[in-house]
Amino acid sequence: MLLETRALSKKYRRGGGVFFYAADRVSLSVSAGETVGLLGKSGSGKSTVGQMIAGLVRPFSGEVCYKGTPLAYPYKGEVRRRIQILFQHPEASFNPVLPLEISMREPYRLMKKNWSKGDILQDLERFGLHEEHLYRTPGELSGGELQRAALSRVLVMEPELIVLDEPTSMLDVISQAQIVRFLMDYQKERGTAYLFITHHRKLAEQVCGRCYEMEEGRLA
Amino acid sequence: MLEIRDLSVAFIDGHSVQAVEHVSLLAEDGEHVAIVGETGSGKSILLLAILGLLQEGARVTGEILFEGQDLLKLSKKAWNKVRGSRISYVPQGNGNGLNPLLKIGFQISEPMMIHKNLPRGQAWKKGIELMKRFYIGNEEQAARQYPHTFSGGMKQRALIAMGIAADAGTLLADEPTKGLDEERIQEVVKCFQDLDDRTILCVTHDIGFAREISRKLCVMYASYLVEYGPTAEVLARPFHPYTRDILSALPENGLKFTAGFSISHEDYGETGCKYARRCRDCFEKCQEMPPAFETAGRKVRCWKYAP
Repeated sequence: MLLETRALSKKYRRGGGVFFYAADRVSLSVSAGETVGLLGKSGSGKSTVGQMIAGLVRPFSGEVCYKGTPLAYPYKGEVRRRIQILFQHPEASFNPVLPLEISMREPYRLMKKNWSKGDILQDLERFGLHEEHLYRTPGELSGGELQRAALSRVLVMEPELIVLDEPTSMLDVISQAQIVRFLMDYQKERGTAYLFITHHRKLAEQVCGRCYEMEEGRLA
Repeated sequence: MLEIRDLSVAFIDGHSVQAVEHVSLLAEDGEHVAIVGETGSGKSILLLAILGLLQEGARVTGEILFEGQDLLKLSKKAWNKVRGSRISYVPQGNGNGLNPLLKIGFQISEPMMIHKNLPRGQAWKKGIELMKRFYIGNEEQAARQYPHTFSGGMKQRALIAMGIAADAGTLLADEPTKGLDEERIQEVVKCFQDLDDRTILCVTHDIGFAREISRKLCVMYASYLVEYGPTAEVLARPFHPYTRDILSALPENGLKFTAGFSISHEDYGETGCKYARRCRDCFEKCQEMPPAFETAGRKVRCWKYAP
């Protein structure tokens, strides 16, 4: 099993000293090379689960196990690279004042990997982005272009699991089909596993081998 | 009635970019028209052009006939009288359409204070009535809240309420379902269906939503209107290769789309059909941009439908 969560919970304060569970004892598993769906309405807690798996939010209780080892928050070392997340709002993934080129360098810097402009361009060209795009700021790129740049940046880390948090809900149908097709081809080639978080049932049916459903913080 | 005749928009800064080219369409009183297309097709620019809200340096040619009057010939002052009170705009719910520092109730009542000269208290009351009409729920309390406490669907419905607050007969909506889940989309659909006495021009990329709310459908690609006709017929039997490709890219039809990534600048520059590079049915004639052919009650910009 590549990834397993055991009774993962997260509670938030709602004001007036009242707590509520955004995620309540969620146990799910993802095998290597598999696409698992996490379906639910907005507010059902699916993004919270995704963020806990990606190590962005500290779980209140329960644990995330990666290849059988429980992970401690915050994640350290190799695993930080291997579990990646792609967000719903591509414009929020980039610093709004920096040109794309500088944002695209970040993963190389974090991995202490040598990089050149040629590498970045090679990454981007798979996604139909070119040199002219490198000099623009996020505000000058369309949502589809930004989401593809974000995906390209995630792939530099050579992840084994990508948490896809509504990756296409802000995009038009054609951009959606292109990104989903790309992800499926990439999975065939590299065996990357996906946790596909979405509210779109028909999309999940097309993309995912199996699906979990969430309702009010719990798996249904 | 809103009629657009041969409308073109070009931006001239350094190099000139054609954002909208030779678009003609007609929305009769009480008719709902949807405009679909992918990012960069020029659909939002078309809406802004109708509203006269394009940035300086945009060159707009053609005619926008609104109740018999050409909006492009209006002075800035006359424009301000039309905008808001007769034509209004519903921006995207997740964007910057609502002011984060003002209470929702005030934002909904503000158009009534400005355009109808209603006193504040009366406008507030009417605002609450409007919120009721758009199913916001617990209105008295919700009116006193700030936008961050609203969910995406509630924000979108509040924006629609704002759009009709000053009783504008024509609404222009920009992607009202973007980022909403299926249940919220159904709520927006209901709002739009209730507005059957208003003319609505709605830009969207959600084909399912367009199917439910519109009588006529315009498909835009790289600044041109490539197919225009009754929604049900266009979706049941699409003519233009691009319309067919959009439909096969839907998840329920298997997400099939093999052509390259998004509209590129080559598509804007060349003289031939803009879709030729991605089109599966492309042939010799496509080196030339086709005019809009009329066939079976539709307009299609494709040489395959030349008489």
